[in-house]
Amino acid sequence: MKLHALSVNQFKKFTEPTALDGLGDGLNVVVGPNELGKSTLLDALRAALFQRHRGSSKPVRDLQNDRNRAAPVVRLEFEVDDSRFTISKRFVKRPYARLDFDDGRVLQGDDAEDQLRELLGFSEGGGRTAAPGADSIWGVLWVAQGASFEPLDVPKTAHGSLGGALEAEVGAVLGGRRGRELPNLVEQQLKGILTEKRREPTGDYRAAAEEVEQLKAELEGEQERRNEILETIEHLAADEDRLSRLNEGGQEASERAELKEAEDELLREREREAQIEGAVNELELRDRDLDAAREAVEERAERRRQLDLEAEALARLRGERENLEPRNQSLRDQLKERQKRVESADKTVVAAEQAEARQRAVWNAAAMRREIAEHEDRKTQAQAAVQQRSEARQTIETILVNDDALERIDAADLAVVRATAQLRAAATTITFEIPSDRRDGITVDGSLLPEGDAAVQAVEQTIIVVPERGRIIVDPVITEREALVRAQMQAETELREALADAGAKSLADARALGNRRRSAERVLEQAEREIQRIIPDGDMVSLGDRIAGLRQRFNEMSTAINGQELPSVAEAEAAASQAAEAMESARSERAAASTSAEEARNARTDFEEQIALVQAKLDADEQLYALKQQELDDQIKKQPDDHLAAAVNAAETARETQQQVVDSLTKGRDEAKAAQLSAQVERLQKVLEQRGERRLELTSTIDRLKGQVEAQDAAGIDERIEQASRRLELARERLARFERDAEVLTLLLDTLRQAESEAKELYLAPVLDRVRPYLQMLFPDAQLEMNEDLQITGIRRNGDRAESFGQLSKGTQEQIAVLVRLAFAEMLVEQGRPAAVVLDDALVFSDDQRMSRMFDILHHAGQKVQIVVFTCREQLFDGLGARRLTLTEGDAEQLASA
Amino acid sequence: MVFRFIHTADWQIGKVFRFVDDAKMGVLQEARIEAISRIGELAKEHGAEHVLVAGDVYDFENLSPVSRNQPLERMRLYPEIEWHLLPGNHDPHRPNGLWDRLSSQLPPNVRAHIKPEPVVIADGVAALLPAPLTARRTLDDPTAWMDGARTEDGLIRIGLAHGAVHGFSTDEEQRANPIEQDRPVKAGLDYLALGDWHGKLRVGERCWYSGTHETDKFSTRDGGEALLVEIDGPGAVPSVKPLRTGRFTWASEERHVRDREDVDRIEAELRGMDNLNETLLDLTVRGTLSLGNMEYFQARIEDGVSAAFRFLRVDRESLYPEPSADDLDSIDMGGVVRTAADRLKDIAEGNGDNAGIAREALLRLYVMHRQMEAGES
Repeated sequence: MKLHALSVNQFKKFTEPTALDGLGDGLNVVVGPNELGKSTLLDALRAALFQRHRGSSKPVRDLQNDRNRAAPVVRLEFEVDDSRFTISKRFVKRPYARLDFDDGRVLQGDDAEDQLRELLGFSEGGGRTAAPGADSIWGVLWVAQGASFEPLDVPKTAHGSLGGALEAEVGAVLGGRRGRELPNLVEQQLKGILTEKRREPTGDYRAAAEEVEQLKAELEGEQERRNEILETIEHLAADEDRLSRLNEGGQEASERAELKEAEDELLREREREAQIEGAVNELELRDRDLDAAREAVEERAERRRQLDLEAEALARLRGERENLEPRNQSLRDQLKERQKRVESADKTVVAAEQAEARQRAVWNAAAMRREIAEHEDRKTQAQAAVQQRSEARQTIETILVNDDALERIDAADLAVVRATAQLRAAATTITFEIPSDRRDGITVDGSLLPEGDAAVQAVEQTIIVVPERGRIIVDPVITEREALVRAQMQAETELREALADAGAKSLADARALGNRRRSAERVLEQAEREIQRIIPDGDMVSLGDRIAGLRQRFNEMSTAINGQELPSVAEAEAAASQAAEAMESARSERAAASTSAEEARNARTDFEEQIALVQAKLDADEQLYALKQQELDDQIKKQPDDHLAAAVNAAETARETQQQVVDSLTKGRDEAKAAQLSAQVERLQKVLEQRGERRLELTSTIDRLKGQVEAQDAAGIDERIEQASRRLELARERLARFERDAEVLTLLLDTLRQAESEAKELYLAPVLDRVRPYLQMLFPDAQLEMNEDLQITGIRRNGDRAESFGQLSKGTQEQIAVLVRLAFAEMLVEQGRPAAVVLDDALVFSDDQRMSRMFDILHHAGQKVQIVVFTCREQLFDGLGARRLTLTEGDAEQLASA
Repeated sequence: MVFRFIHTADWQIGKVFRFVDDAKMGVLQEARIEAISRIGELAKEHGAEHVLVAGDVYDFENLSPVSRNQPLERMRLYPEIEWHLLPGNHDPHRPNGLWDRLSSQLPPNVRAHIKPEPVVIADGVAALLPAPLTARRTLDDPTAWMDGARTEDGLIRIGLAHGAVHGFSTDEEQRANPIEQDRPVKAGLDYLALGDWHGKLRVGERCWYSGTHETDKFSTRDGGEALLVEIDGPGAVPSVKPLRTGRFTWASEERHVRDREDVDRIEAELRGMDNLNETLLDLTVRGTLSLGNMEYFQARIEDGVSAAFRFLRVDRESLYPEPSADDLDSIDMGGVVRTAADRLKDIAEGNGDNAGIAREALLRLYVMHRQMEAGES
């Protein structure tokens, strides 16, 4: 889209036809002083494109000139998709709209406006079909350029960073002039009545809800009280009704008469009953007399029967006593016989005991004899050992070669051998290799050659004589021969002395003597041990005494058994053991006999006791029987049997007479009558009594209830209820208004917030993406940092560490506002939608360096988007290199007002 | 001999008015007491020595002693007039109830008729046949006993009753306490003074409802009057003349609106009504208005002319705000706020539960926007 020309008449401050022609591609600068009305031209642009010609709202009326209030007229030539159009509109009075096509077609009125909307890319009620915020961008791009020299419409916190400022600016573009303030204002209002997070009633709303609850409770309380009062009144009426019925009389009088009559009759009835009772009592006495007479007769007969029975029993008992005697006798016999058996057993035992004692004495004597023999043996052994001991001692004393002496002899012998060896080593060996059959006669120093190979060690001059031939003299040359010979002689001397001291003739003799001495020592040791074993105390004499003692005792024993021939010990032991067994057997026989006799004695004693008991009972029963017999006889004597029979007859007659008296009294008697009369009297009395109580009770209740009613009356309960329910109703209405308010504000806020977030979601990222290269141009030395959501997180200048912008300067804020709009326009153009950017006195806060960078940016953007710059500072924009335009007089005919 | 009296009813002392604030309610309640004095003055003025109150002196049975005594004290101020009170359905005579309380406090010139039996009044000129109610609703005709009630010959027979004459109402509530329409003929009454119906109503030439002495409802017609009745003698047709006793006029109006001109017209019509300060108006407005015009309506009617009335109740349940293209444009040509406004409009025009809420939300948005604009300029 491109703008070509704009003209107005009677439009705000323009009271004369005025035109701005020659707008072209890319950058356009419209220069003029402040009073020129550049902002008004922007309003005209907006009115031409967006304002409905038939509108009557304030914004439309505001298009009029304040003084002459004529009809504002606006006319705009523009190009979309290479076609040219002219839209003309007049407002307020005789309004019209007209759209001229370049092919000469014309649309009027609403048709013209509908077509215009279509050309601009948004349909009627855009929000319904287009993406949220789509049309908004139009309005902003064209006319909200004022933001560039108005304070930025963002919360203060957002100024802090470049990213915040950018986002805020995009928000401002999307939200129009009050896109941010309105939701906040709604939120503020909502906060007054709903809590922020949970959206629960608060403040006045909550107070209203609480008031409703409180009033409801109050009203319920009052209604409850009214119910109580009504209840009291009802009770009162009911009680009064009851009392009046009670007091009606009539019935009570008749009940009293009935009571009197019943009481009289009851009295009569009771007297008659008393008479009958007396007669019946008398009859009972007669009955008892008769019973007593009959009992006397009966008793006498009973006694007789009893005595007869007892006599029979006595006879049986006597028989029993007699029958016991035979058994008594047999028990006695049995006892006697068993006592005899005990006596014979006793004799057997004595004999067995004597036999056993004799056998034991024999066994003891045999044992003693053996012991003496053993002692004799030991004595012989001991004497042999003592002999051995003394012989060994003698041998040891005669031989001097003990271990020390032997050691000395061995050492001396070794020294002789060693000295001889040394001498021999130094000696000259003379070897004779002469067959033995040819040696005859050869001597060495006078001695014959030994058999076999022969060699002679020559230390001194040695003379070998070979018979028949002569002699050979060998003179060995030996150094230190003297010393060696002397040592050998010394050793030999020592050996001779040692042998002499030990009493030995030679070395071999010394060894033999040593062996004999050691053998004698062993014999001595063995003999000592033997003696120790046989007679530990070593006293041979006491052993002899002991043997003598034993012999003495044996002689005594032998005498005791009459010098009987003694068997061996084993035989004596067997005989003794046999005698002991025989004695034991006799003893147990005697014990059995004794036990049997004891049993018989006990049996007899028990039976005698039994007999005594039977006898005692028999004696007692006979005595008792005699007493009873005596007693009966006494009674008969006092009152013979015929007297008793007469008494029975008399009692029978008396009873009969009394029975007749009772019968005559009870004839025609009604037993139930008295009971019935009594119940009647009781009932009537109770009825009358209860009525009296009831009357008293009712009277007092009525008095009490009346007092209550009067007391409650002062409350004016109905009036209070009416007033309370009125207050409740008012409070409920108030609450309902708050509820409605809360719903309305909530819906409003949610709708606003949702529209806002959707628009942001849709446009924020693409726009920021396009702003980025512009920002890079504006801060060439800096590196922008954006996160993956395209949010600018910081800026790095000259390779320093990342920093936020801090408080953005006014100039920077303004530049950002312009960049955001350029980015928007660029995005729309890329989407194939008409877009242009109008800047009004923008960049006034920029320094020269920034200004020139902005110019570069505008130039860059101008290649894609048409940009119109309004300014009053001509020189400032000299460097922009834009098309320069001025206002001219417009066509009065085209722009006729009304 | 001529018997002249005033017939009134339904004073409903103690009545509570739920829709007005406390101050206005005080005035309305006070007016009901004041109107008693006006009846007294009118009686004096017209030479009537008797005032017959046909039931519902009180709005309910249990009042605070002060409220109960207020009308009695007013009547006491007119000792030359005899006031005859009758228990109605709002203040029936029940054992140990209101009328037992009253009996000890009645001024000498006030008589309470709590028994259905003839009473001779006016120095033997007339016999009064009262039909007191003993419950809020009875299904028996309380005047039935009058047919067989004997009075001395030559006395004017006046019936005094409270209830609904057969066939005069289809309202269920009004069918209680039924009164036969030709009771005056059947019982040989010269006049039957009725209460219960709050508007003045002629049932027959001998039978009238006087209506309430001070109107208390928007729905009542011909209220605020009492009847001056003159009877020349037994059998004579009574002359009945309404007298104004009420202070306040209660009215209901309904209007349709579509545009700003309609709002202007309604304002003019309301201002053209008589005696606005003594008028309570229940105004129902139907139709649709743009958001701008809605704001205008509120300013002109609800906040403007309303102040001229004693009370103006505007029912706009059926008045729908209809956002015009202008309204929406004036909120914003576009942008997020405009998107939100469009969405609210969609909801408001739909059939959802939220439609009403959305309408109000849109109106609120509009007003807030206007206020912000005003604050900025």
